[in-house]
Amino acid sequence: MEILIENASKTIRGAEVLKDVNLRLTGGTIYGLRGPNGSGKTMLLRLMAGLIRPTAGRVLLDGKELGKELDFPPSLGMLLENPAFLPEYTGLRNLILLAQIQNRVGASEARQALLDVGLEPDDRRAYRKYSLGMKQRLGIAAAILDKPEMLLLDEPTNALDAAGSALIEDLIRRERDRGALVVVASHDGAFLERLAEEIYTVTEGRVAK
Amino acid sequence: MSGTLKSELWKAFHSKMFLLALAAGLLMSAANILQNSATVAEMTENTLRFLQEDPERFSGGHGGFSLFMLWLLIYFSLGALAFDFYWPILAALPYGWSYLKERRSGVYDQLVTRMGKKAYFRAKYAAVFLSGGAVVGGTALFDLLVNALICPVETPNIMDLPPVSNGSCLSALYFHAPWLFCLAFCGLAFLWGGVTGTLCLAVGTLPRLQVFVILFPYLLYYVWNMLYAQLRVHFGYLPLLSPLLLIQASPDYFNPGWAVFSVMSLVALLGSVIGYWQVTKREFS
Repeated sequence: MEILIENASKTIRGAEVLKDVNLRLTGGTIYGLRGPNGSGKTMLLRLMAGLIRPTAGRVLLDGKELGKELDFPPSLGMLLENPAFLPEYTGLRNLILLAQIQNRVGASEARQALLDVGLEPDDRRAYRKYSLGMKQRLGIAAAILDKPEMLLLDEPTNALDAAGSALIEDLIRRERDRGALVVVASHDGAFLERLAEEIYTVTEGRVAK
Repeated sequence: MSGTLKSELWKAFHSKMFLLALAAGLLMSAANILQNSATVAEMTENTLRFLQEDPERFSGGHGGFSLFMLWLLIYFSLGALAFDFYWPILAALPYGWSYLKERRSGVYDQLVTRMGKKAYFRAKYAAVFLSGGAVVGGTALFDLLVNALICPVETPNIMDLPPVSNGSCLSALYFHAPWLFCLAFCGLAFLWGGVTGTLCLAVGTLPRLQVFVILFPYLLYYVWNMLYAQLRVHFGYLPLLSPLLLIQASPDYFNPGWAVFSVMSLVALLGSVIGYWQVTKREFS
């Protein structure tokens, strides 16, 4: 898998949130995006996910242009900003509902994804009763559920304790070893230094190595 | 059935709001049924007294208080009035709000990247349509069946001054096959509930609160009804063109079949075309 971003800019309500971004990312690698809050890290992830279209330039996925030849990356797992689930259902039910959409994986994979992030599959509590750390773990479980070729994680260690962060770091490395293209955005430079093989700095919408 | 549709239907029909809407609809029906029970008991007593006092003049009919005069979509009891006035809220309440909620929470991102925007819209539209239709149509059907246990069932007679006028929507059925007439209007109520619920998709994410999305179809119909009333004042005569009232089987104004289906088609067009644009084309960043 390869993502090629060519001269991509994005303007939202008159403000240029991404400026002439050029990137080439390939599978089996962990990329880090570093930058302060509001620098454009999340926008760049949304651009790669196909959730926003560039105002200028283009995003190619294995040679196919996002927004023209492809609506979204065909195999994508992501955690953008805050984890988002249906509050009245359990973590397992939420994952099963997501799994049902593509029918690529079933309930057993949903249970395994929960175990991988340190959550108990048989927990009867509704998502709304989860702690912040549990919500974050469930967000990561949803991202890895389908064993995606492309994994986009925005501040994955938010609300996690040291043990939780270590577990997630290990999980991200396993995803990379499986061949996934992993992009991790974080304001925590030390975390990215430990984890990522290539780090890009995002400042006011501009991306530099 | 695709996984996408299955997942949306599961969410729609397991939603607490769906149960709440259904309970509210059944409560309105229960109010109608209670009032009908009192009416039927009183009329039966009067009939018996009349039979004793002057049996030769008694025609033997119960048309004035038969099922086909007292059903929710025909009668004007307190419960029926509440249903006539608030049914658009019942249609929007079950699942119409879900698009706004999913978009604002970020669930939308998770779903569309897995299924695509068009499949998401199709599944969402179907789930909103079916859940809204089930509540509105289900309430009408429930009321018909329970009232049938209480009220006398008699084919309507023109001498009883029935509320359905000649030439109005499905009126031929009313005078010859009233059960079919009522079942057909239950079907129409289902369609009205469905297309009205999908109007919520047309507002997309413009309002910031779920409650405004739920109230949108009601407010739209209310304004539409006021405009219709003004046009009626201006033109003197106009067939009924207000969706708020067209759900009724015997509204105060003339409701020819073409008016019912034209207005319903217009509402369906609004919900589907603007909803499609909101869900699949409008960028939310």
